[in-house]
Amino acid sequence: MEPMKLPAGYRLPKGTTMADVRRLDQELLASEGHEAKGHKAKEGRKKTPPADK
Amino acid sequence: MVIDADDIVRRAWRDLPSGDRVLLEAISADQWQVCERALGTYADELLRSADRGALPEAEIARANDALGLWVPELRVVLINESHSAFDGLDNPTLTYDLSRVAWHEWGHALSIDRAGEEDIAAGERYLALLPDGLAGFIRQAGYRRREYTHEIVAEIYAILMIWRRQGKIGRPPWLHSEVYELVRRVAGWNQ
Repeated sequence: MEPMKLPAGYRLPKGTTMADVRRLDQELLASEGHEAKGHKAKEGRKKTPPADK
Repeated sequence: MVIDADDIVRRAWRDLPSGDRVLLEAISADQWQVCERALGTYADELLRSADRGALPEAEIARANDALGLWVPELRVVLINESHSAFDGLDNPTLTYDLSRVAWHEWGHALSIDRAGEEDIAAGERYLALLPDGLAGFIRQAGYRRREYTHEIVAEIYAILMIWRRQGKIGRPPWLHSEVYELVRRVAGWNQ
């Protein structure tokens, strides 16, 4: 007999509220220009444009 | 006007992409119940009455803190609308929170059925690819390492649903492509 699959729940860390969750959601969803971790490193450094003469 | 929690969850279900609803129906994860009970105790009672065994005490205690719970043995999502996290919210905020919890739990259902052993083993690596704030929430909520992948899929699935409700599609720029591909593969996300 297979062991029982345990329930999976949504819990908040101690001391946090759904207001913290909403705040984090809004920060993430508003961060249009923010690159995901590691993406820039993979793409390499962008070249600095030449200075105007 | 007092808004009905079950109506909110029903609307959250209807807001899912049709392909995702089909996928959830295919794995028998299209049932839910909004209740006013501590979810660990309630899930244990439901499991016992269905002759599916009993939850260990520690699991009951963990689940009693939960706002929502996917019970794989019974194929049902439970949501505790009497949880203190929902106290005193206005209607739009309650709608946001209950919808988010429901989407998280449907993400759980998909992940628990469809994630492979390699996905689960890579949970910590996926966690390190998340934005710090989101990773911190998952670390601090006391999940086991083998639960990280399921939590990541469920959280990102819920946030992608909010992203979609805002009329946006594709991979949000802050979401690492490996995590996005995980959610696409495991949860079937294709928006």
